[in-house]
Amino acid sequence: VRVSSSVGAARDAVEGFAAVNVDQHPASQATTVGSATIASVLNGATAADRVLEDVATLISSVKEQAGKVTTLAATMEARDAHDAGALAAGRVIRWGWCTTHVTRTG
Amino acid sequence: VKTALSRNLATAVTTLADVERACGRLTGALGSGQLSGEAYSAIGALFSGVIVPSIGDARADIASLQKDADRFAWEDAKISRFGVLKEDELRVQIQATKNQREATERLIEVNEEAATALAGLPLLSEALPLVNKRLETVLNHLETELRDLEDRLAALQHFDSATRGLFQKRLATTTVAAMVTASMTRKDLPAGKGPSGWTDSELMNFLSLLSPSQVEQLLSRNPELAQRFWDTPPAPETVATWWKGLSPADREKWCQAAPSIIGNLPGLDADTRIHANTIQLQRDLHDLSIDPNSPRGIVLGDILKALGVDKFSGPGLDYEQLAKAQIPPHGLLAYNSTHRPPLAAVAVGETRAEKSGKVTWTVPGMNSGLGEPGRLSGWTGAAANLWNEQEDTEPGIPHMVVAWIGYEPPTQDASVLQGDRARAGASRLSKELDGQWAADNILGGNRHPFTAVVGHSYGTTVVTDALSSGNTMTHNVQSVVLLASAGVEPSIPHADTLSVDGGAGHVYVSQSSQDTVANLGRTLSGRSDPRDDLFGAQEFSSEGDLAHKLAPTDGHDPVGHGTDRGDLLAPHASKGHGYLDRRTEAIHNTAAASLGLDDQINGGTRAGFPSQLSPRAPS
Repeated sequence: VRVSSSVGAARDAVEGFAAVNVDQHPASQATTVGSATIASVLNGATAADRVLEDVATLISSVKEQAGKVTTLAATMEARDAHDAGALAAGRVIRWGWCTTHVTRTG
Repeated sequence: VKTALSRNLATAVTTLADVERACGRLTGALGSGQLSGEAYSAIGALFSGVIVPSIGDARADIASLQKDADRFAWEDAKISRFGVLKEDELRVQIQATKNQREATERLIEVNEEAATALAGLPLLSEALPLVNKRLETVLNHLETELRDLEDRLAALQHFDSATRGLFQKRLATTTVAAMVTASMTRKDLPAGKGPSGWTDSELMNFLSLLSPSQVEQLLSRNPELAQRFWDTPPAPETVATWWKGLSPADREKWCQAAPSIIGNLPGLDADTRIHANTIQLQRDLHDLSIDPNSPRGIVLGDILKALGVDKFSGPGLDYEQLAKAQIPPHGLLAYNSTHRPPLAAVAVGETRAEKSGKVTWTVPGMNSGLGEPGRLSGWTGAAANLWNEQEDTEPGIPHMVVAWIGYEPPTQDASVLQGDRARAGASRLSKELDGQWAADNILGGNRHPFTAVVGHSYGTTVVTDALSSGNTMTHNVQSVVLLASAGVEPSIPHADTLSVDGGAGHVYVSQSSQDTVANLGRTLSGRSDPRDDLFGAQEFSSEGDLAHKLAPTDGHDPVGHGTDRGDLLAPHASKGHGYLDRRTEAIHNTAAASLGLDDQINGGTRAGFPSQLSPRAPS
């Protein structure tokens, strides 16, 4: 398995997620329906509130997965440094979800 | 509500567009080469296969809510001229107006009656009609007000009716775990379709993201999921690495929640798989819906016999421990009872062979398919013979021999002459062999795993297919033994092309001169004889060596039976003279060859006989 990794490239790859934040969006608005009894008004108010909650949950979950890229890169870099002496002999290193042979000759 | 909906939906759309762009940038980077390897590929597959499509679904859900909002606004515009409408207040107002109207009407009547009674009193009788006139003006006003109130109520009720059912939609997937679940349920392709269903990476995401209880729930609703894992199991190294990171308690949860998946997952160690499969076996033994005479029912009895626990009876038997206590220990290494025919494998010997010994997988040929009595127990008996022979050949080293019937072997019909069953079996076998490496190395800490494969008859076709370039195995095996071969596909020109350490030097072949069935199989199918010198394998003898008390093999069977060799139409090996019967030269040499101990092969090895075929160019 060909492996290549870099913390810098990983950070760059997930940079776009940093700017995504639904909670602090200026246009969002909470609803108040008082004593309304019409179903659609109540459902509409619930939907208005819930849509942002759902999107926030989704984004948080997606960001968590994206975060694995930088964690993975950092782990690989740390182990790479640790195993540097042994790698010349073609040792097996393991990280994250994967194990692979890495052979370096120089 | 309208304003909040409008703003929040717009915010949701904008945010999802932002996250989609971020996902696009990430997946682009993961495919660029700067971030590559299995782990990055798995994350990339998760994003491109599950997360990005789910964000698309979320946008569609929001578009649906927007449509509802438009409809709501349209209906609202129709009643906007009434201002704020509140049903409760309107009903109170209508009732109050009606009461007032009734009171006014009664007063008018009283006045009229009084005017008649007081006709003799001129001033008073003239005044009362004037009062009534004013009261009728009031009454008219009340009527108008009442109609207006009723119009407002009707408009509100119409609005309610026209907008009822709006805003019921909710974003279907709010977490990645839910996305995976939803994607899994959406992909309702029939089981066994391999690549057209879930990819191995997607299935790995499924394991790493969902909890055991979520998988249990999903499995109960989609039992075919276990077959998808069987057909396209996640990469064994990834599986082993995932499993290594779990606590013992979590591992047990997985075994209990999804035994049909965990028990058949290449990359997991034999102890885990045996534990999970025995859980599933015990559940099936208590499942009254399984007809004892069906293939599933028959295989249950066959498994108990193969494990050596069929004689035990009584409540609460622990078949895992009972089978482990056998000499040699036995364990149910693979178990797929819902497949037709059922598929299974029994491990014979010491599971610690994965950590510090040698593991041999054995693959049977024609007429070994499960679902008929004695099939698994018979092949397990042959595997036990080989294990005993290996123990004698190489004492002090732990050995484990797997009796594998994880494919649908052909019966004595045209299917044995075709390669379809072999190719299907090879696909699974290659994953099991790669899984053995991952289990040994990653979970067992074995730096130099040793895996051998022994095929008999059509099983040799399966084995060579599995080790050929058609099945891209990540790791080589260390030894291959082909007994009584029903032929190697012409697309495999030389033993060096197989995924075996040492190439042709560690590919061994043998066929007894008294075995006419194997010749027939090759001749009719057009497959090649691996003893042909052009194939390059090492041939050893199965002829017997009385000087060394090694019996000859006198027929095609792995285990002989009866006192004769049958007739021309149904030849067979006699009792004690099958390839894998004890004290035959064939099993002695198979044990030595499978363990890579060339110096212990009786009579040594030789290059195959001169080719009777035209030389083939290596592909």
